[in-house]
Amino acid sequence: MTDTVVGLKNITKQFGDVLAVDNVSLQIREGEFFSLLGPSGCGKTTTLRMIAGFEMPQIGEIYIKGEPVTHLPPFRRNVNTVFQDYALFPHMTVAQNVGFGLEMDKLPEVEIRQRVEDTLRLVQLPQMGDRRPSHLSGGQQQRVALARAIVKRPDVLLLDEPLAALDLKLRQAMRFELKELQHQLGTTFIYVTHDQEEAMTMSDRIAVMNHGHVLQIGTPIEVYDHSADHFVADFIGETNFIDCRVISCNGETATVLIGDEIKLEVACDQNAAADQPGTVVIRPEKIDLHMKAGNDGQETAFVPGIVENMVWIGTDTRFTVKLAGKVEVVVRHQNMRLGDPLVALRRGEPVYLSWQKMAARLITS
Amino acid sequence: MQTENSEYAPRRSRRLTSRFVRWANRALSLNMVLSFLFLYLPILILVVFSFNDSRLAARWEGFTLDWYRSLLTSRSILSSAKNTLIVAVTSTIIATGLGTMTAIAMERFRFPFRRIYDGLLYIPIVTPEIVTGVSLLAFFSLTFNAINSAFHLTGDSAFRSGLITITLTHVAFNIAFVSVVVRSSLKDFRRSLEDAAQDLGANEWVTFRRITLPLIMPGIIAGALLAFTLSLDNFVITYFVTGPGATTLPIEVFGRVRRSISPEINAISTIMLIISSIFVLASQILQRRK
Repeated sequence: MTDTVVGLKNITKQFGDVLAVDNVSLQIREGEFFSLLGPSGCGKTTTLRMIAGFEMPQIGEIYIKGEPVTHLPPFRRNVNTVFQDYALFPHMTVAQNVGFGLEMDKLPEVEIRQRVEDTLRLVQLPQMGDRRPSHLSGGQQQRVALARAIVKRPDVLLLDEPLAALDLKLRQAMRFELKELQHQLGTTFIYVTHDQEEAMTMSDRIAVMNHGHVLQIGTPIEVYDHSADHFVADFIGETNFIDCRVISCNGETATVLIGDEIKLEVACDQNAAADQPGTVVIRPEKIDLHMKAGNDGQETAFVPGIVENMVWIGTDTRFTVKLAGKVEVVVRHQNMRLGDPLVALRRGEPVYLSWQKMAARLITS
Repeated sequence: MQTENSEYAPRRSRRLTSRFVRWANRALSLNMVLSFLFLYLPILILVVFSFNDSRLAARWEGFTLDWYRSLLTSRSILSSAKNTLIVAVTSTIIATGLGTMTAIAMERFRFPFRRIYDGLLYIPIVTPEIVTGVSLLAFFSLTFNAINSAFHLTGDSAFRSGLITITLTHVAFNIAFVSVVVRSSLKDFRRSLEDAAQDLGANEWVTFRRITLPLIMPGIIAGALLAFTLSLDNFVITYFVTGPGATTLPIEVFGRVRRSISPEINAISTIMLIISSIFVLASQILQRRK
């Protein structure tokens, strides 16, 4: 485990009666962009604050570079934080803000000046050193906060929803800049966000949290395509949840019954007992629409349905299709060709659905 | 017919309303003018007559600065002014230090009965001064009697009321004022700034000195200015705890007024008015500029 830079071992943190973080263990690897993703109150910010040293866990240990730091104050840990409200010192200039951490390390003034200048150039704010934070735009303040945190070259950079206060356009542009900066620096980033799109586009790995628990840790693709449970599948992207009953299961594939008529073969990670209730999960964009039934071998048997509703969104068309037994399924059909006959479908017309066998998965938890 | 009626009726009532509103507006304006006259006319007369070239305060005889000049040659005025400044400066420094620490403790720490302490801090502000004065007089005389008799102190070596008791008293009531003002500036203070400083390697003391203190400094200075002003013109409480030779300006003025209202009184009052106004104004500006 030499490449683990931050380790959390069975961390539990309680505020009064509220269990904010419940027995969380994480291994964050050297140089990765790791996101803690979850709704507000899920414990992601508390977890980050414990790594920074602003909160102490009641149970568990935190390691940075193999050293236990659980009870060290923030000023004795080689991690730096970008705060959600930036927390720039209003009575200091931009250069004084960025240089504060180096000054605390008692570095010579010449070196401080040089490193502040270099870092401000890195975040594309040269010539801004003499300004006060209050004279900068939100986006510029965000860059100063970033510069102040990276100038000390910490082992780990902690980011607490740093883009939340920016407007949409800037937020999207900053995602790529942050990712690029992380690539250039090679520093481990731990990024807290409630925005699943943000986490998906930037992260190497994501830990999805809810109610103080880590529900799943994985790459964006793993978390999206192999969601561990109902909450993860629901929180990340759009998903169809179809109630079903298990007929048989061998640990890899399962046969399930949807309603009274539709019998399907789906992927299955865990073993499930026969006759157990479950949920079939399938992403809308993974379903193919057909005008006629037919089998090309790769896909499941065609499931007939009736177009219930359709919305044309430009890049794709969003269909709601009603299957037998009043089961409704959302399908996203990409508008690849001009004059696509599927786009001309109207309400009440019959269609057939198919998908790759492994795209539909059984979840029993 | 009906439409005519319904059109007519609101028009008359509107006319009535507008007449009433006009009268009410006039009455309110007049009331405001009278209120301000009532508040400021006596002060204005006092200031004007401090420049009056006549011993008798009844009639305007011409402009002079004689009364201000005679203040500068009056030994009793100069010594009481000196006493007032000593008390004001000393008590302001001590009360500002203690009041600021109290404010930080109240705002930052969670301890049992915090709400009760919170309330107790405000009580000195609303306690009638006469009650504070009497209680402190009783307290000092009991304490001094006990000490003096225990150590057989008599004459010059005995403890008695004087500048020190006045200063202690001013510290006591000013702590409350300072901490209230400082607390309001701490309320707006973002805790994440302190987190950020510690995150960058500053320990608790450096964080306080470099981040917290400079940012709440306007509040502290505002509190100090207020304390200085309150100490400068306090009469009631001071009167109870003063002793021989420890005369402050308000007490000197009171003593002179008992004999007769002289133009010197007007002059000294004008000076005190100006100084107090400047300090209160400065305190207000500092509190508003956040």
